[in-house]
Amino acid sequence: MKQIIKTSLIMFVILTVITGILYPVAVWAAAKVLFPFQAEGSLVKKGAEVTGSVLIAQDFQKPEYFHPRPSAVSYDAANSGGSNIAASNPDLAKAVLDRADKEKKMNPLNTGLIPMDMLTTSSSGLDPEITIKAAQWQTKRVAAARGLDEKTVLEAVYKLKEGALLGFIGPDRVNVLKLNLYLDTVKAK
Amino acid sequence: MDIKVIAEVLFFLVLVLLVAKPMGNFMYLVFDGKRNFLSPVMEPVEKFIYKVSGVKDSGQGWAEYALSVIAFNILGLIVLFAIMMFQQFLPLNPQGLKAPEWRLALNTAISFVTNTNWQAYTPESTVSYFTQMVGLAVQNFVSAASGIAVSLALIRGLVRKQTRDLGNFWVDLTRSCLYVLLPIAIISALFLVWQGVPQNFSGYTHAVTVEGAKQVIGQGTVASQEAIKELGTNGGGFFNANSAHPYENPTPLSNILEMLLIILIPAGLIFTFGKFVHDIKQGRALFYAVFITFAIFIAGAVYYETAPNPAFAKGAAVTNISAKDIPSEGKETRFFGGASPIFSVVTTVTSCGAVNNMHDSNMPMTGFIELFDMQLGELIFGGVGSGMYTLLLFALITVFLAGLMIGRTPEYLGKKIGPTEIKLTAAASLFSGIMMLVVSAIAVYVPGAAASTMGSVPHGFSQMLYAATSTAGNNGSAFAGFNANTGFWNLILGLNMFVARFVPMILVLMLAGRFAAKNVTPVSVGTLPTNDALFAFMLVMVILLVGGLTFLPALSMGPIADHMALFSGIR
Repeated sequence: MKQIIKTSLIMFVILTVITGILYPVAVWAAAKVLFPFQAEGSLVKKGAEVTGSVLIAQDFQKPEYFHPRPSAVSYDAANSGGSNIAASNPDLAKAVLDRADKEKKMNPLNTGLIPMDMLTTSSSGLDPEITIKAAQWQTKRVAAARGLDEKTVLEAVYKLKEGALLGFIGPDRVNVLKLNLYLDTVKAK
Repeated sequence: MDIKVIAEVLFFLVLVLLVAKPMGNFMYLVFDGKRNFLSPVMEPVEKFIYKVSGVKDSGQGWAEYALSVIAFNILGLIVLFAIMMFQQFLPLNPQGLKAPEWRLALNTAISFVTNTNWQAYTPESTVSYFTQMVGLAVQNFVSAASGIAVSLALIRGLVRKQTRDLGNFWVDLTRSCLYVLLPIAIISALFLVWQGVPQNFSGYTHAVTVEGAKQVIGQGTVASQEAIKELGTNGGGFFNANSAHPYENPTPLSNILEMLLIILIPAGLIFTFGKFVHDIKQGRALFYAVFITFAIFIAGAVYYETAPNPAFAKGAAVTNISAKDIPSEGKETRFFGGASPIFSVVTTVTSCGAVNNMHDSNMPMTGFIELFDMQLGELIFGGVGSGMYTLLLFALITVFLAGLMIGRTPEYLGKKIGPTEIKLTAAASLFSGIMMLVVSAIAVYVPGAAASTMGSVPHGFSQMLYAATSTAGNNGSAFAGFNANTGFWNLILGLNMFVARFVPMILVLMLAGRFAAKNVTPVSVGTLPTNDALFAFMLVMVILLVGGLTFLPALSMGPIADHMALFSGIR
């Protein structure tokens, strides 16, 4: 028994050094050389100031910007999570209808169907993307607020569209932060 | 279901088929002590470890093997608990996080040592980088390795004759870490960084958003943690949202890699078993039994998660919402389609417990599948190692039942299954299931325990059942609307994880010891073949029958009632 405890201790220390220190540090060092942008969190900077991460949704409320999906954690990127509300919970149907009302007020020019992903919270609360349908739904508003014609804004959406992997995995979607930053560089004709 | 989603499901299933066998063959070389392509690099390290720790590659009997497993794991538990309680005095804590409440720390320590990784805590605001790396990630490696070791001991017990020798725990532990877990984790972690997963020691990023608001973004050594979390079927997220967090799982491609990592070792080990018993057909029969069940569960979950939620049909009558869209609450845009439900099945059948969508928001029948996956005993691939030994337990039960039907002494791989062996088998295979039901039942009666639930009665019951099931199955996923971080739940679920991990392990090792001591009976006309399609079919029936009889009553009060209420419009 004494021998077993002694072996346990030594084994534990060695494996801790290998898997708990050497392993993450080795990955960190290799990542720093190979993929420095991603390793630091895919941050977007304006001068020295960090504007956000392209992988992390941020709150957009102004009409001239595309809006991300609703967030159960108010886009708090230090406390991620979903609503965890059950599919059968009447509060979910109610929340969806409330959000639909807000969307309609925000997009009075639009009479089409509001895509469901704009009415439901994501699982991380930080979903950086919306479907192409959700972008199309917001296009009229964004175009009007920016004094651009609708076609120009739609072109921006399609330019930044990410298609399905191998043509069948995942929906057609667009990154909201990238799209908005791009639109800020487009001048009205 | 549209054609794209079907293609996605088939694509993933083919990938599993492609990787399982080569992985199994490689692990056979490693665990049988044969030279392999990693030997030139790892052998010196391995020898050094044995030298320093005084390990001799001599065989251990079942009792010594079991004592080594337990001593090593208890030590891990104490160290991890201490790291968490003292994290404010330790380095790499840029957020200045303090010690969690002791019951939460104890629950978390147990959960990582038992390969459960139940998240009663919010990682971003509870654990420091040091705790993540040196505490939790180390357990991600060694708890997985402990599972592999015990499964190897059982396999050796079945193969060897008239011996006490089940192999050496320290050797199995070391080889699992050095040859299997570490190399795959390093490559996968870098792949994940390429896809966008961060790996840094920076403090949290303070950003000023485009609209001028402040946003604090959690960072850390995410990639290294993420890779081993999936590979070791651990499942404890670096962030609260787990593999749904864009920093943990940023693209559809990273998602495929993570799902494959989860299934790689459990699926491979079945082929390793075939090589060990010198009859690859034995492994193949078990593999296909498991694989087909797995495919059926995936089809079910994908079906329910790609059909609209009927709750929105009424809303569509009063306003212009697109009620025919898939249920998207608790899902990430990049994982719409098959990616979310496939991941849910992968993570629940393997005892991984990572999630890329919120199970609590899934359709009720998807919840049924997730619960049932775990309740079958985590053997449809199952956890790393633990899935293999649980599957072998059910193979033994199948042989026993078949033996009763045809009136012969049951034997498996030439080993006679006597009364003591079948008692041990039954106890080991039923233990977790009993704990799932007992803990759920206790929770129903304890005043105040139900306050942790959210929503109406059938769903609230599902949440408690899920918590008891996930912890006893050492899975770790949750219906996360359930508030698990209370004194009562932390203690009872902690206890549940602990006994449901180590009691079956000890019983399995006892069983391995008894089999090893036996001689092998030669194959005769009276021997039931255990390497053909008929046996695979019987095995599936036994697994479903045992699971169904044990859990359908509880399931009908939870997800089934929830489903019927939702689809009939009863409120």
